Amino acid sequence: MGVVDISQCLIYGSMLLALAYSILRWNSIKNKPERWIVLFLFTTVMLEIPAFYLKSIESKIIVFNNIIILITNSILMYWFYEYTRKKNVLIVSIVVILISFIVNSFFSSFLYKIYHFPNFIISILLIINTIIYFRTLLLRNEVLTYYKEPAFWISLGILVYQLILASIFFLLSKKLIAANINMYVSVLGVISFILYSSFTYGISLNKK
Amino acid sequence: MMSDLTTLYITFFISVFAVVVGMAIIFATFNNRKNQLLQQQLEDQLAAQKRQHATELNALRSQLNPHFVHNSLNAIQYYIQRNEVEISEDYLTKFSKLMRLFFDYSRTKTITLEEEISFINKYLEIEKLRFEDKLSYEITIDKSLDINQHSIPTMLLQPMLENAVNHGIFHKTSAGIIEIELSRTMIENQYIVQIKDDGIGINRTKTIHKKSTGIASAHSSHVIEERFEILNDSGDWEIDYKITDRSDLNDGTGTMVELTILNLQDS
Repeated sequence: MGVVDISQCLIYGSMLLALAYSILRWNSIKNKPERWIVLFLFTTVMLEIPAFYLKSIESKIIVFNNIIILITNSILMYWFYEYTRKKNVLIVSIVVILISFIVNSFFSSFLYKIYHFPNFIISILLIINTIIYFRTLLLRNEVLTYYKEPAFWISLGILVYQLILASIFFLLSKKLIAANINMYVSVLGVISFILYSSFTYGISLNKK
Repeated sequence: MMSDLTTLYITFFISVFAVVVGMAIIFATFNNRKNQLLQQQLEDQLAAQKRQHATELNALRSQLNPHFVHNSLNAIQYYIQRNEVEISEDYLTKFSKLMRLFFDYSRTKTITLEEEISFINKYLEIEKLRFEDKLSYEITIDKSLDINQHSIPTMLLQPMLENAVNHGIFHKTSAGIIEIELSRTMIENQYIVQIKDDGIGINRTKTIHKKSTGIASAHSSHVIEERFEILNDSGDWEIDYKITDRSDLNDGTGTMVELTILNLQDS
């Protein structure tokens, strides 16, 4: 078992566990913004299956990865919107993501290339959304028990994931480094584990 | 030139470092804000408590209006001047006992109904000495109401009696009567206190006070209501306060005050 296999086990394992746990806790989160996290996890898992299948028959086709990035991150933006209620931020974020994908599609194929630059843009937008959410929380009385707030932990996971991912995508998009699959996947494994663990913990904090 | 792997390692290391520092900053910011809010809440609570104490003290002070002390002393002086030693002695004794009780009760939150009745009795006796035949009073207690068991916020009734005497009976040309009736309700720890006078009534009193300065009456009514508000907010009592002009009810003249008191502490 190589680094890539271990990392993939870490990514898919934590992702599936988070989904399974969120489905089990569905009754306590169905009326809360965290239902969007369940949708995020569900969509990710559902799209990872055909992506994995496609890769096994034609290793260069990564169209589903780009679709996953596009859809799931838009869901995350909406989840942030549920807390911050800043419509402008949501609209600008989604429009910028779409434009960055469209612009990038002029330079590289949507089917065969991971869009590094749009990914970098998404990471920056999610970091901005996280900061806006933190600011909103700081101004509310809930800050007194911030460590009991599901969204606090989920946002923290997103921030860690996106900060590291943004720096990697920045280097990749600027061609400062070549794609080193081992390193890339192992870093992704660690940060994915942090992200999905934060989702699981955040969902566990939701009470009926 | 650095290799790709070295660049990646450095980038990764810097990112991890940035994340750790970022986390530390986030937690520090949230803890600071939390402490700030807690401090603010504490200050608000203290301010509210101070306000409550001030109002309570205000209420207690206003219960024995300086006018009452002044009028009582004037009446004693009047009897002394008329050489009516026995009456003035009796007056002075009652007055000093009432003062003693007032200072004792000022430090107590609640007293029994029996103690409150004894207190208002002493107060009305003194007022009766001042008004002579112009004032009479009657206290009726429901037999099923155990006045030793039931409690009441200290000196709650006296300010209302003072209003009945000074604003109801005082303006009346003929003699007046104050009727105090205490009865229990079907609810445990709840009883009703009704204070009725056959004076000029609250509507006319208001008109008279509007014409003059009216400060004392408005102030005492405000303090009475404020005290009820504080008692209800405390969660220890549930007091319903109703004041009506008896002429509005076609029940003669005068004012009727009805208090429905529920002791939540003993519930």
